[in-house]
Amino acid sequence: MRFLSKLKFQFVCFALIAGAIFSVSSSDVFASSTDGTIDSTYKHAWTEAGGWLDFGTSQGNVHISDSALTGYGWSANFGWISLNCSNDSSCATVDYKISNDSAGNLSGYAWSETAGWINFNPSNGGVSVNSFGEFSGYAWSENTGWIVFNCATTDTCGTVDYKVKTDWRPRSARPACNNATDDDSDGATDYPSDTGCASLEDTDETNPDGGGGILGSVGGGSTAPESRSQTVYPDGRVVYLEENKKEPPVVQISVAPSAVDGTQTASVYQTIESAAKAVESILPSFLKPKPKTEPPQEAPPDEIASESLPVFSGNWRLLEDKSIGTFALAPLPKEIMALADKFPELGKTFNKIGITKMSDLQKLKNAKFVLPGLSKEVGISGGVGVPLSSLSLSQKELLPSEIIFAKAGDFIDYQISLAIKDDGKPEQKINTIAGKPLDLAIKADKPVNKITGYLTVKNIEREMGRRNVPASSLLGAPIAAALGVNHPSGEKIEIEQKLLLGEFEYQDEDKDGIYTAQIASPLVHGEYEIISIMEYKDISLGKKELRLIVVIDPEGYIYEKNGNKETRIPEARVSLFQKNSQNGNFELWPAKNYQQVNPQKTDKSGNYSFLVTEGVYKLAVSAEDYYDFAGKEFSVEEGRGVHENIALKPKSWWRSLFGLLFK
Amino acid sequence: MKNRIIFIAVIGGLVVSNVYFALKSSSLGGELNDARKEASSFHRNEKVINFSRLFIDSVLKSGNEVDFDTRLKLENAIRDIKDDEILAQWNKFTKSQTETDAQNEVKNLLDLLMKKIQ
Repeated sequence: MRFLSKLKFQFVCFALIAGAIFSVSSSDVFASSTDGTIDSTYKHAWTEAGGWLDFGTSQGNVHISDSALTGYGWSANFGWISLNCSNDSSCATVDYKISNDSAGNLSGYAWSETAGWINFNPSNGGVSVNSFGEFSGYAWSENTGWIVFNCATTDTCGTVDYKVKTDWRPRSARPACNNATDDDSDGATDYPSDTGCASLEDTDETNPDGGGGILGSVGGGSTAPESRSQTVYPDGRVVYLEENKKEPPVVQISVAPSAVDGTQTASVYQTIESAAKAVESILPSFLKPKPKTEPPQEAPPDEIASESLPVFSGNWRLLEDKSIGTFALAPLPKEIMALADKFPELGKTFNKIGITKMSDLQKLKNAKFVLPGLSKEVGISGGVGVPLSSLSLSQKELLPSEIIFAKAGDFIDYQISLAIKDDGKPEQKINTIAGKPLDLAIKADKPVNKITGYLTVKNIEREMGRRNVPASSLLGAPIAAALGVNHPSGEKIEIEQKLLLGEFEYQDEDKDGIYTAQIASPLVHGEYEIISIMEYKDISLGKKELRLIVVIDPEGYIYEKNGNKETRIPEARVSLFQKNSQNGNFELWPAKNYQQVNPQKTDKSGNYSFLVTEGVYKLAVSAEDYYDFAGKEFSVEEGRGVHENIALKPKSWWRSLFGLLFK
Repeated sequence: MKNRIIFIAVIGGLVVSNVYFALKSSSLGGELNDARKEASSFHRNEKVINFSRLFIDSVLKSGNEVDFDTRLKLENAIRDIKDDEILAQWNKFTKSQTETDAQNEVKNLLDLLMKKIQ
């Protein structure tokens, strides 16, 4: 308990000392204590409805005297607020002002065009200025609500430290020589009227009576009035003394210690200042005044735009050359580079047409390249493929690895077209006909445990009624397969959802490193994807995935036109003739060599199709009750199908007439 | 008795129609709010795009000092978007004191502008 009392006593002493120090240190504001202006830092009042009110703008020119306030306050929302009708000489019309009772109690009204009248002394409110020149309390306006002049009033200084402060001081807080009161009742008031005042800061109006404050005096003198002597004070003030009054000799005064000696006063101030600094250094942080927080003020755009800022000087490159260069000059994607390596002709073509960097890929967006078939790749030409088994070891060496080659039987090589997708990756595609055999071959770049293939649906466009597709042929195994894209060892496989039609294993029976698999093309025309995953023996290599798009073209059909409709013709005989390049004659194409039949008989839907080698061909069709059809010659690229739709004319005249009438 | 039935039928019809129109009004009110939001979003997108275009043309692609009028246009345009986050990022950019800072801040500004387009 005693300890607590001692602590309280120490705290009170400390507070008194600190208060004294702060009050003394602020004494330099007394110069305008009778005609005050607003502090350049503490100049804001706050209102919920209007935001900050600034009483310290240079244009507002607010002055506070013992009797009234003049000038204007400023609000971004309400504009100028006039504190006195004398501002614009309108007192003859409406006489208003903020009055000061010289003790710092304000009253009366201010006027704003937007906010209307603002009462500085409303009931439950009122604004006053304390002995430190700090405003406090509330003013009231119907349009702005309460206007708070000091954060301490609402106890919110912890959030935002704001107040309005002036260097005007209430009369009671000012020195005797500056308080507009005749303190010594000698008929003279304040400095300089009262000769007892040395300055406005003089706290005593009574005449000096031989006490301190006089540096020296000289008797007579040519510039002094006659019969009087003068005394010179430290501040340069000269006081004339009556002749009959005796003043102490200069020497006596100068050696005597004096309370108002200028040198000593200065040293006292220095001592107090150093004490204040010492006290400040030992103050805990929560007792120190918080750093001021400037209320948000937004300068108008034209003011901001007139600032000189380096970012607008035009001397800086605001986007780095390096990053732009890295983007624009990025090399071709590694997949395309790899293809160019595997197919040298493709690499040469890229060089010729200037495809050397990533940004050039845009040029390839609509371009299609053709990769050579398996036989051409190993140096066999002539339009007819060769069986894999007949390739020599050196030819097998020439076969590029990690590419899926497709064949139909032993002799037909599918032509692989290459397109660049939107993401810059190459897409390999072959075209075939529904139901035709598809022989796939892959040469592994490194020893593999196995290669697994998946046939998945990419996009199916069915013509309704075109074909009755048994559910088992397409959707019999609609399971979602998890397939990797690029998956080095340890990397998590990216999962994608696909409609899986079949799974198959590639085999390498002759152990030549070329894995083969045979599947049947799907029966429904559309786009399919064959995804082959190689599992390397070296576990650290992980797996590699190869993709090949297979486009199933629809079969051709034979039909009779009936008005706007078509009637399919079954049992029609379709023959394909190939042009002999040596004698120019057309000969029946030897379909047996390619595991096919020629001529073909159309099925119930009138369908037929041939998958042929490169060459020049023509079709001939005959059917009962129809005139024979002899087609024109046409060229076929390597491994493409023949599937034209052919209309036959009926022999019966009335069916022909029916067809013409309803055309 | 007949009149009573007619009366009840009329009242019932009115009640049903009132409920119908109340539901309809509520549903249309919701649609109207959605349309207003969309329109507001559209206007803001337009302002963001206009500012971005002005910024790219007059600052990023300009090798010269940006004049006062353009600066004023930019300051007005960025405030017209009425988005504190964009304005704060713009201020960060304009107050950059080194080229490296300016490059980083301009990337952040462009990134933010693009993200604000809905």
